Amino acid sequence: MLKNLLLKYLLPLLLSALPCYAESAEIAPLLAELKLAAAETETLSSRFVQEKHLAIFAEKLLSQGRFVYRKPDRLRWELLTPVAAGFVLQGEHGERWNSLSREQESFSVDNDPIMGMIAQQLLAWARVDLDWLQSRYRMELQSAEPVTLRLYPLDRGEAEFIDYLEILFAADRRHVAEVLMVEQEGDSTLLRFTDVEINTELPLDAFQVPGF
Amino acid sequence: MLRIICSFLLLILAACAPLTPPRQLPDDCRAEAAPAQLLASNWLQQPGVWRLRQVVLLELGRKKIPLEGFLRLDLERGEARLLAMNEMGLVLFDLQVSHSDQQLQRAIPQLQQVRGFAQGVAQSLRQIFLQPQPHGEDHLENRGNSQRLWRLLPGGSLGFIYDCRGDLRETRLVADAGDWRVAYDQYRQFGAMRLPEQIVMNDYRHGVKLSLWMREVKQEP
Repeated sequence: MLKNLLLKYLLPLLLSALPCYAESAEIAPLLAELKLAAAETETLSSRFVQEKHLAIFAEKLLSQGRFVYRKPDRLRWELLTPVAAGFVLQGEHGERWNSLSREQESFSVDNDPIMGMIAQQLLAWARVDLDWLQSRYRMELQSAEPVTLRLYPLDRGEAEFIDYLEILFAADRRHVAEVLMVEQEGDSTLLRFTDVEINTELPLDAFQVPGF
Repeated sequence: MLRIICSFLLLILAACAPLTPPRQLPDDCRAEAAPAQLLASNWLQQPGVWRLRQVVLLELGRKKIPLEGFLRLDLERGEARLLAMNEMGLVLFDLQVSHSDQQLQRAIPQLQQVRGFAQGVAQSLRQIFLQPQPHGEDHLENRGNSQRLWRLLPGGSLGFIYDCRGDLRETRLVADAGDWRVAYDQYRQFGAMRLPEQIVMNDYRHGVKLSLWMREVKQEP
């Protein structure tokens, strides 16, 4: 009887608890290692490809652009195709532009929650700000080689849009190589960073809005 | 004095209204097609399902809102479904439109609060892609390098202008029901049909201008 109970109820419970324990024990030293590597990054620039998967249409939309970061809080996110658009950010304030409207406008993390969320995410990935990420997400380690973290939003509002984020680090663990954002409705966006250059000199206009 | 104030107000209103681009039609041929030929060459009147990736500029008075859109246009069933995204690919809204109805499948909270938002976008989509359409009983007017099919409506008329290559270049409605114009430009061959790569809709009564540029065009088999 006791053996039956053990096999039927207790063992599955114990087994299901094991992976969680393994993850939390494994993730801490990894995060510390990632933090250490990121601390050496002064500047970062890269190209990126954005793949938008639309679940209801089984369609993949490709966009391309470039990305620049300078420690501690400057960022440039620029789409080159299908339309020239983007934003530059310093801390919590930014300027966005779009070649269709031929306009630029200011935004702040407070007055534009969507742009704010996007900008803060990009900044957190660029500087591998794990403290900020941990304050906003529950983290799970998906793989140690290459390091892949899955992040579940803690904020209710964000959780209404986003199911989870998956962050894949480069083999040398110095920067983020891919970010997958899976929305609640099943759509997803995959960002792949290529031609990554770390600690190179940036052009003087790296954080200026382009003229039209 | 009242006349001066009115003139001043009209000037201000004219300055705020979105501009309509001048229509440039080819003039190296004569437009002599029969109505049936004009209807047959119009991609919007042939059965087919199109997948259109577009960049979009919505102008409400002086406010300009750039978007990226993916439109599935089912001309057989007279239905359109538009997913609009921001530059980061985040879906802002998902709207399903038929001839007589629309359903907002999802939208970010800021858009959910805008009264009449779904109806307004749906109406623009209908006017551009679904209805009204020309038909065989419309009057035909030959204008040298262009032709116009038109019909009377309460308080005005509805007209469709074709260039001498047989491409639909404009739909214009001025009647009790509204005052709007859709211009179709930069036609290109996609499979067996010619589609416009640029579409501009002006709703003069509501001060709305919607400009679409096609970036990818696919036809479902």
